[in-house]
Amino acid sequence: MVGRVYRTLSCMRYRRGRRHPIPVLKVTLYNVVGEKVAENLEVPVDTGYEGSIMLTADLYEAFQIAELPRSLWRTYKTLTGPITMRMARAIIEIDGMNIECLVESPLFGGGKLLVGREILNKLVIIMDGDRGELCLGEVCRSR
Amino acid sequence: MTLVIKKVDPEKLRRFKAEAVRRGLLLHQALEEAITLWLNYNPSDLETDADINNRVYESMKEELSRDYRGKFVVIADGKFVGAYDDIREAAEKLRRIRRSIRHAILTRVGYDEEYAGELEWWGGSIEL
Repeated sequence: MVGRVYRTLSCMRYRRGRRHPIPVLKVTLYNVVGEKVAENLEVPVDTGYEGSIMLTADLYEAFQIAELPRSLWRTYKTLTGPITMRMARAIIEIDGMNIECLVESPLFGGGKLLVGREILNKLVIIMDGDRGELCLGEVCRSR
Repeated sequence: MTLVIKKVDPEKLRRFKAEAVRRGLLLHQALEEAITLWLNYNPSDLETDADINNRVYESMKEELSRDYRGKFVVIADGKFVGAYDDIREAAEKLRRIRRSIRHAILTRVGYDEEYAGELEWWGGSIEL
């Protein structure tokens, strides 16, 4: 036993998947000029994605007001080959916390909604698959 | 004629050579083709706001790196708008010009470069 106790701050129900439910984070997105682009968006958690937040092409449009230069866009190694992402600065709100981050969307294709390790590693997350809930938490006691 | 060029980005040159081989061209043939395309290309014909802003950024890259390291730089409407110590100042400037622009570059010089490059996405797939 590690002997650590976590206190949950808020929980989100897993979203229905094709066969297995999907853990999601509720995220509100703002561009850098403060325009609310989406509210309480249920974004699937993907620990295999090293980036921050991937958006669909239509959602990404509002973030082009603070885009990174093309020569600084990232490329992701995937099973189907490299994928280049457009990147822009954004502010996301998760459970009342504001996080400055980068949002991304594939240069080609429609994109998807995903939250990756660049954001997940800033949070304490408890994935309670048995209850079908993802909870944000804090460590309240270590033995 | 023989041409010697210094200070070429090695990664760009590697990709250029690989693409020439893939297309079955000798290096000089590929270079001539690239020069012809560049000479015939008129940027104002088809450029979007994003193209223009990126062109301005690329043309200023060395200057930005020399004079504005660590600052948040804004490029919009094909112009260098300013360099700011804080992202909030840059955002405020963008807010003031928001109505007239759809695209702008906001980059932190010497910082964003470290986050660029290749990352991984296990099993990633995109629906076209």
